[in-house]
Amino acid sequence: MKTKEIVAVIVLLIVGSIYTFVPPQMIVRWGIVFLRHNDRVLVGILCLTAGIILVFRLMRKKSR
Amino acid sequence: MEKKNFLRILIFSVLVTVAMNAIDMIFHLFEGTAVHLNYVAVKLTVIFVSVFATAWWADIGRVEGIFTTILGPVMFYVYYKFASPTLNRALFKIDDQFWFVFVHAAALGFAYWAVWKMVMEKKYAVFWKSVVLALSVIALDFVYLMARVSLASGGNEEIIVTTLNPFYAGVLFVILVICFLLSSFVLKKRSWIAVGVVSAVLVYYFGVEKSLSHSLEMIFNIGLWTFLVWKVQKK
Repeated sequence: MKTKEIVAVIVLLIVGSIYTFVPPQMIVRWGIVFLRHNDRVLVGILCLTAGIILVFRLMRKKSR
Repeated sequence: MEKKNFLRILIFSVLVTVAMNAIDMIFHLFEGTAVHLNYVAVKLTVIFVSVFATAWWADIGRVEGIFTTILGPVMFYVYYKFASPTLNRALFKIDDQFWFVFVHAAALGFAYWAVWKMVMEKKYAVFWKSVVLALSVIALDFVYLMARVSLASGGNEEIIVTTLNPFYAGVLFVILVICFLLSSFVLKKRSWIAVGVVSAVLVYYFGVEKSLSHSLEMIFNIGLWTFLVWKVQKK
């Protein structure tokens, strides 16, 4: 269960960082385009948010 | 919350999100910052995901509330920094400056606290219920007003931004809190019908325009939130 959560955190943070912080020209060059730039940033932000919350969950579990 | 109840957590998150957005929109109206439909939609999404995912994956509580209060506004600020502007910044001032993170955090913290008090504590539940209901009604009413102008103007964002009136927002909030408090103490059951009808009449006469559809929206709006609050309070 914990391994699955760690894998999910890594995937969410990587995908979120790519769609949030990488410039749109590079996203086009890599061929991972969908919808408009602002929609991709929103998806990235949601992935980052979910990833950070999973990290918080792991930390809360550890502290209990 | 002892056992994870999906519906209850969902309604809790929706209430926190809309109450936060109502406080935020009222603040921006009085402060002179543009309330922009696109950014309101993004703010609703980011804040909802923060509140819901924390409540579902972790819990609802003091530490989780503080965590959500910091995370939501910070992620929204990051969105502002990396997304392309959709509104002419030369004409309109928007809440993309760093200090607005604190305003958003204060609004979210208050909304989380108010809904938490309403659901968990029974002592002042009627007062918090009235505040949360009034804020939720205002948020949906604002979205309705902006969506209506958006349809009428063919999506002209600069016209939509000028739709909301700060004085209307302030007066509506006070009227709704008084109506909900009175109805809770006097009528108890079926209070939403009385509040809905009274508010619809008041909105018709003192609202931004004399519109029957706006009055009907008010009855639906109040009915919806009263039902959701009743559902989340029910044990």
